[in-house]
Amino acid sequence: MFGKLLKNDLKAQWFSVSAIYFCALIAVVVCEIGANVLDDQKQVVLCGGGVCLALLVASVTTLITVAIMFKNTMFGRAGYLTLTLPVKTGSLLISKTISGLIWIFTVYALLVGSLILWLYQIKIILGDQMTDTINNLLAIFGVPTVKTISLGVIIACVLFAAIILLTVQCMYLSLTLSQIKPISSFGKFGTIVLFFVLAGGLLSLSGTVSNMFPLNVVVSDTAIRFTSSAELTETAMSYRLTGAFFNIIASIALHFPMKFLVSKKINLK
Amino acid sequence: MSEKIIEVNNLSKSYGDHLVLNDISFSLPKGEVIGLFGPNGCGKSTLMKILTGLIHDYKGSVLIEGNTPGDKTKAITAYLPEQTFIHEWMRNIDAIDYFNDFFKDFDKNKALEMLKRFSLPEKQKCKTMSKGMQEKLLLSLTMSREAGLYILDEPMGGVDPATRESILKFIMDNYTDKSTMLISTHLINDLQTVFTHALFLGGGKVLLNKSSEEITKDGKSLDDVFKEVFSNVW
Repeated sequence: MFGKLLKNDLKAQWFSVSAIYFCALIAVVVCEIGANVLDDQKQVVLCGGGVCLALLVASVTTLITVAIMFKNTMFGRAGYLTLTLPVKTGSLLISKTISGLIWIFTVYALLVGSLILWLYQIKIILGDQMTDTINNLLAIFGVPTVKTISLGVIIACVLFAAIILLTVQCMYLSLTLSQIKPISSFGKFGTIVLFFVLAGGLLSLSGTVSNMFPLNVVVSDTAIRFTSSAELTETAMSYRLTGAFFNIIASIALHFPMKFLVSKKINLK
Repeated sequence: MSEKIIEVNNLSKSYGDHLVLNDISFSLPKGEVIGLFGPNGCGKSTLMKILTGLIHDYKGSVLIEGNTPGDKTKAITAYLPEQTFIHEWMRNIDAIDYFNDFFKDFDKNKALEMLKRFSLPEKQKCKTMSKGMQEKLLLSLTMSREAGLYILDEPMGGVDPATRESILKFIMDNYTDKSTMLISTHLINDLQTVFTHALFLGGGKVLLNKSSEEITKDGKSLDDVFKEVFSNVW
């Protein structure tokens, strides 16, 4: 049953985010065509910037869309269907969290991809001058191997996913809390403030915990090691893990008050 | 004594200071078509929402087939609320697939037949349909389930008299005596022949809970009894 829930949530969210993706795609295509047609270097760089901007707008809009979808399907008219399905409230919430996480992560991945593409375009424009600068920098700091970079990218994605997970959970909990008094009397404003307080507070706490109990993962060509201090070597990449653990644990912890509120406190209007 | 499908004991529910259901207790027999009657604001929809697990903060106990409203009761209860509940993105066929995914007792072929019968295109977006068409779709979805308990909240509230008749026929055609049907309506005249049991709510209390046979044994119609009961209350 959980698979069916997830499938339908992804489908429902795709209906909303596809429009955003489509607009972003048009913007990207226009900017890329512009970048290839124009001779002026500044304009080419601007076009690349346009791509990044389009995807940045898309990522923020996706976040908002996922929030609206959650509110509508849980507490709006569609809630009459969602909440009368013969499934556990916990499964409903987990499915919505995973589907939201997938779409938000996808749009951020596209954003990072577009940034890399933009830098690549700048590199082509600047030609030898840029290549020499990069080579000089690499000579100073050293170059991790492709294997190390690949592993590093995977770990970075997981750490970033943990931040998005916490953001999504904060967003959902804010929307859930805004259904009950006295928060409901503050309307949308109350929900937004609550979200920023929750997300901001927990992410700050994550940073603090990370500083208090430093645990790093160091990825190098030969091994993956865990240390309590960040190692900067020429061929290794280091990431802080404590914050990510905190984000995941906090996200799981936020699930329970949400489940309690949906199954015991919130009435559908 | 006939088997009970719904048992309610000392149920109270209020919205702020307004007490809608005031310590009511009743039970409803299985396999009947039960009319839930009462004036506006008497708690009919609230009671239905409690039975379907959409309202949680009530006092007292509510049992459906011996279980409190939850996953188990949702699996055997087909609920048709007053308002449209279909997700905005859905086309008619998506709504059918959605029901087919989640309700084991859903008959997809029956639902597709019903779409044809109501001339509802499979690929039309639900949000582009008129209120009457949406009601027909929701009814098709609800009645395509072989549920133990149907809870229909004002199923013909927004449709014209001609469609009303066909919907009523449709409901009764798809009803089997293995299931119980709880229907709230103001249209007593149109529906009084189909009800085998009636529950009257008013002033937060149960005013009457009897079989239609008992109610009409003095030669009075259900509508007459309704007027009689509520003229004393309001």
